[in-house]
Amino acid sequence: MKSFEISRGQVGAGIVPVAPHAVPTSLPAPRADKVQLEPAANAPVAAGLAHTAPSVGQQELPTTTALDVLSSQKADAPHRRGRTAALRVRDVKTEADASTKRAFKPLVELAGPLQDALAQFGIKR
Amino acid sequence: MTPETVADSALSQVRAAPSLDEALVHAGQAVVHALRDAMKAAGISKIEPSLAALQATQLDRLLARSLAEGAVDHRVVRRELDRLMRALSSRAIAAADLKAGILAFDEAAQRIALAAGRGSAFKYPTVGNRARDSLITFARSLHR
Repeated sequence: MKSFEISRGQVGAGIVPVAPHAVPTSLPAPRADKVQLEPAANAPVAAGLAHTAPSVGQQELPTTTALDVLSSQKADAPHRRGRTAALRVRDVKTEADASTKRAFKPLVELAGPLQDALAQFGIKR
Repeated sequence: MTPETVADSALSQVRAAPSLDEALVHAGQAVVHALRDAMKAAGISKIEPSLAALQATQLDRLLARSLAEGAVDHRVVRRELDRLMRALSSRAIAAADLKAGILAFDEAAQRIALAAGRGSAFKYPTVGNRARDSLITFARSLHR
């Protein structure tokens, strides 16, 4: 079956394949029909829109959209203001002085005994 | 108990330990004890929260092992980070505590390396240090 032929199954399913070489020479002009929107009974309404939802009459205005309604509500969320500060990683060299070096000498001296004690487990320099 | 006897007691427990894991527990305690004294002598603030974070993350054991080896091995750090990831996933430890423990380890290692000087006792450069890069990158990933 060639690609542009329609099978019964496709017709039944409402599928109409477009012929691969078909190129529309002109497009139909868009029809600007009025669309009367009736809110569905069970349609979920965003909490932010509920109290400012446009009335039925307003829905006929082409300029009023949901996005306009949302953007008109200035979000007041103090917890979102600013950015988290970067992780503060210390460079001890810039802060340390001679007293720090002296204070931490015992830890340097602990390295030798630690090495001796852990050598039996294969820990070595 | 004098500081020397506390350290000696811990070291004797390290020697008597039946396994490396148990030895490192005691070695970590010895290092924390010595760190406390050193930080007090250096006038560093927030000593106890820093040491608590170090012990909660068990990075005191990594510090002890690194001291014994003379440097922080990036392969050992990799294994430690895997362990910490699992602890984080199982909620055994909070991200904030994990971050604090890594920073405490990093600062302690820097100070010890500074005190060791250019000798080979302990090296922990701040540049070109794969182990440090892994630790800080992990801590940064926890920071929000």
